[in-house]
Amino acid sequence: MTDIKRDVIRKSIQKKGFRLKQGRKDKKKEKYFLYFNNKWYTHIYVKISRGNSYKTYSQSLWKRMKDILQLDTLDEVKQFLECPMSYEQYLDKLRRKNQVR
Amino acid sequence: MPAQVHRGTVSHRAIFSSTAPANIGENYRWKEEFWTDMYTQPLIVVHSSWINIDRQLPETSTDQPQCGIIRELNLSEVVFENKRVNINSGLSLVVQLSFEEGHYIAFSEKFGVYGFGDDESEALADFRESFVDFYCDIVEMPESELGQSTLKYKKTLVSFATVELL
Repeated sequence: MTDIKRDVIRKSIQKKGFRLKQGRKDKKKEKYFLYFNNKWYTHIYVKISRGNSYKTYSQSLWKRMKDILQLDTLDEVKQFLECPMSYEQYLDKLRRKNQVR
Repeated sequence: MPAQVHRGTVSHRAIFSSTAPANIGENYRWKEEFWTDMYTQPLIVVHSSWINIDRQLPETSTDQPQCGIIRELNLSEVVFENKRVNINSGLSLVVQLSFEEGHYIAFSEKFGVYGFGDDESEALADFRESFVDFYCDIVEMPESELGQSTLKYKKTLVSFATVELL
């Protein structure tokens, strides 16, 4: 498993329907929530730190996102964050888990 | 003395400790959720809401070669801004605080909520914010908007803790 660049994560999650939410602003971190079908799913989110020491995310950081993203394996998290997993594929996983409607 | 876990003092982990109360019989059946096979070494019980685990991960762990659990916290409440999530009596929120690849990470395995930072206090502050937000987001969400598994999750959360405004 490798490090993943913060910029790659940011682009990737935005392609999968994650957006910053108004009123949830933090100077140190950006918190992206899943927005789908005109609804916020705030329990599904990705937190990205703006700090200099977080320009790349090591596995020890990104692997913690697995449960919150409702994914099952670290490989899926990596595919999600690095982009090979498409928006449709991700939504399909969430639908199968009854996480989104 | 009934064999139960007291909020904010001694955790279930203490059953593995040499300091475990002597009057808990060997055949006492602890609830499954109280069991783990990770903790085979003696623990140091701190009489607060924390339990320190002064040890490193086993050397056989190849998953995180640079990591080490600094300690495990058993929280009875989590406060962020004007909200306090009170963990129900007899339960505690187990948070692992570790140092991995240059970052401090606070993580709840039970809920998958994490926080990270450049030092312990930053990681814990980030965790507190995430946990309180996460709890409130799910609990406040109308049931009609929740999928079946999230609804089940909501019920688990509600039975685990309550929130109050400060």
